[in-house]
Amino acid sequence: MKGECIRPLSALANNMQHAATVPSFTWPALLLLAMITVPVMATMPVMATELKANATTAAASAPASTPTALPQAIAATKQQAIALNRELFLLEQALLFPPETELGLYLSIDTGQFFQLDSVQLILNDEPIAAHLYTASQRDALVRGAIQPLYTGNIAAGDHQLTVVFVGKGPDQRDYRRAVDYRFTKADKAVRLELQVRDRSENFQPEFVVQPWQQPK
Amino acid sequence: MATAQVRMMKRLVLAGLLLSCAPQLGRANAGVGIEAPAAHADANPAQSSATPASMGLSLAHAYKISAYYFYLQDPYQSLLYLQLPAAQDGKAALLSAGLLLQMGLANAAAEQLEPWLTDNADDSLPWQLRQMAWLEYARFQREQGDIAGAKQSLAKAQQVPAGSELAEQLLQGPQQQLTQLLQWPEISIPAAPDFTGLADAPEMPYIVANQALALHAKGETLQALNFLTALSAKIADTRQPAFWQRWFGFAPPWLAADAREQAAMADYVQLLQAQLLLSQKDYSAALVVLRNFPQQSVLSQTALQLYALCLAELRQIPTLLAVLERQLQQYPEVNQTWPAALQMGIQLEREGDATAAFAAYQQADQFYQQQLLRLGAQQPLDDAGIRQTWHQLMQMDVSPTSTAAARTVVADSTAEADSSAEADSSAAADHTAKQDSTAARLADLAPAQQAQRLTQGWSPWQRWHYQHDRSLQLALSQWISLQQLAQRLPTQQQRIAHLQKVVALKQQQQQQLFATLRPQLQQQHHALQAQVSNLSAQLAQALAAPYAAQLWAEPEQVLQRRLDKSKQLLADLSAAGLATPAQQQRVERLTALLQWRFVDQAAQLRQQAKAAYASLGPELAEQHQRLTRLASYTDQTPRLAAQQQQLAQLQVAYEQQATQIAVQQQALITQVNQRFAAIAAHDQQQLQQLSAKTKQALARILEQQVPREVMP
Repeated sequence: MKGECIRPLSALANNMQHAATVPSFTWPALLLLAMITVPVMATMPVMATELKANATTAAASAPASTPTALPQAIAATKQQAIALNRELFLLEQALLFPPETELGLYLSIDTGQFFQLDSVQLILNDEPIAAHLYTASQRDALVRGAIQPLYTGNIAAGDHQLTVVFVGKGPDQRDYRRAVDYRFTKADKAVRLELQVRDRSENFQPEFVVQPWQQPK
Repeated sequence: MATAQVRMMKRLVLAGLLLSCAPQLGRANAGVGIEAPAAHADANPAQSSATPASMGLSLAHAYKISAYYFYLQDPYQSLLYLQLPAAQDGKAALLSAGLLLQMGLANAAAEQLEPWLTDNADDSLPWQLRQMAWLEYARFQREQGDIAGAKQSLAKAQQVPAGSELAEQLLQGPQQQLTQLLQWPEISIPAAPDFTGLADAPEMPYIVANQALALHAKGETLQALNFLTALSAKIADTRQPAFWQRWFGFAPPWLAADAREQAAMADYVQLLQAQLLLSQKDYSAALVVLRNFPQQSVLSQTALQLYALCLAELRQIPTLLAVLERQLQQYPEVNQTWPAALQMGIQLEREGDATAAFAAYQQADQFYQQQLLRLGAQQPLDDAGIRQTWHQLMQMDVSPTSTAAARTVVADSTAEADSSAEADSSAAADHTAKQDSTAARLADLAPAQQAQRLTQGWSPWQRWHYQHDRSLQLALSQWISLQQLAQRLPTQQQRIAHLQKVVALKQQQQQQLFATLRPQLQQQHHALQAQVSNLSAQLAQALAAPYAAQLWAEPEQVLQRRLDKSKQLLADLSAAGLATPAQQQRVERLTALLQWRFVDQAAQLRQQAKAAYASLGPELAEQHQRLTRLASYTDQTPRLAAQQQQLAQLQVAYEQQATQIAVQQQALITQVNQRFAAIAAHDQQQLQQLSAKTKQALARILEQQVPREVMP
């Protein structure tokens, strides 16, 4: 074909799949396209008739038999998975992390303009307890305002010192490492602390804060 | 085509809403232009209560943790955190419903939605969330065939409070889209495309294209063409925004989509234009449009068919033959292109070139036989094989040389495809597509893209039909969702095993504590108490006695005994009348000296004893307190036994689930194979018909030629 735009549309199959999998509006459009194709072709001479016959038979090809029992069974399996997941989680909480000894650490990031988090190290009473290396998707989730459950463990009642080391890129993409100390007392209730990375626009620097969560009333 | 955009948009909206009760909402929603409904931050604190089962999480925190898992595409974990707070509000219910919809649990989602979307429901719900829920609910109702209900729900979704223009614009696209679907073909069509009103809607091109189609259906094809021309110009306008526009972050949403989406959309509009021109019998104009159509577009196959129609109409036979040949080369597995082989012979026969026509018919017949053979050789899909491919793809993700490995595998598969007779000019495009798609981690991809990767090992015929058959796509997406569940099972079973160990250990500790340790400790405590009381009595006695022996030190006690002996001797002597006054006096002096020493020492000893006794008191009291506390502990063995039983039941349930998943996956693959078999049977029938027609044509030419040769 003379004058055709040759474009390596690598997503040939990809695009079709996009069109096919979400029925929101692309498929109706394509169906409408099919609706219009048939009348257009009907106006064509001999060859058009041949092609039309072909197109219509293709459209009416083998019937799509979707038994309803299987989707229902799959839905039941998924719902069972939800219930089991919840039950297991609660059992885990009850058995492994009772409130009398529970320490929960959560992490959140402000807009992330002045600090790009790469990793976090957690040190409790001079003993490293956990470390986490962030993927792009985790960072993205945090920058969008989500909170990450970072660590759950058990500690004895009494006074403790938590040190959190944040490693990442600071302003101007420079390597940035900052440690924050936080002292707290563990009593009978669970201790939950949110490690917040905030942007401070006053000096264009990140700010690292440990914020205890209040128990819901 | 723009589903990625829509999905992204929906995700952003849902995410924004997930975070909407958190104090930092504004920044979370900055990207999607939703204003922070600060009034809803902890809208109903009274409902936030902590119970052991709820982990003591507040709803605000639960939303944000849920959002974290939502962004990481783990709807199960996201739903778990959303359901943790003991007291659920309407917002949590609606968000849960959204997640259930994502998991494909439409009925469960509807159950969640219904009580909260009634007119009397909680008014404190963020209205954006309510509207999005109404929209999705309307979509669900439409899919269930309840068109009237869907229309009612849509009408409620369109009720926007005053002063919320920004968010109204955000929802306008999906609303209009759904309206078109529900009211088709009687959709509202403006005099000209409303590009301004739909400026923020990624659905804009589709809405306008549908309006053009509706216009054509009404017979207003020229107007429809005008719409498409305007749309074409709009989406082709890829000029970079000016500096200040960029500064304020302006970019048309349909341009923000990836390049492939944009290209596919542009091709779709172009094809639609060509079709409308064809319906107007303006073949030359249609030819111009189709001549510029991209070679490797998702719609190339349809475009080639239309191109062939135009060429046939305009009798441009040499080009037509080339196009027909190209169709066969580029899409040999597509049944819609198969008549092209026969058409080549027909066109040549019409041109009067019997020899060339005969050769073309022979080639066509050969082609049909080849296709029949290929169809017969199609191997059914194997559940285990697909699972293996899945695992391989997952392993490539975790391997440090994943990209290299992916490329190697892709190169191999491409080489295989090349070696097969079905490999065609699309192989290069496929190769690039494969490389592109393997660059990202499988787990990070959307389900549709995961399915895309999974089908890479399939034959081109299977892939083509998969891309064009909704039931096949649904079955594979279900298979993937089950596979994701199956993937979680080993970890969950490990967790259960760990918990079982913990319970066993705790039970052992309990038994030890209550059966041995506690009685032993109590016995020791009693003994100690007895000792202390004895000591106390002795001390009292010593304090009361004038010269208590307990208050004598050892040397003085020896002296005392000697003095007593001396006194006894003196008494004996006195009785015998032998004692002298000097002896009497000496004994008295020694007694006085000893008394003086006793008084001096006893004061110190008394002091020490009192101090020792005083320090023993608190020690004993604390020990007593501890023992009392220990005694107050109830035996947790029944609770632990119940938990152990619960764990055992969980273990069984997970095992059953693993079996169910395997069976259901197998059933889905059987369904896919049945569908492929049905399509193959249809294709075979079509090929046989075409082959028969080709043979008739060959016979006809032979018949025409033979009399000529026989005639003198």
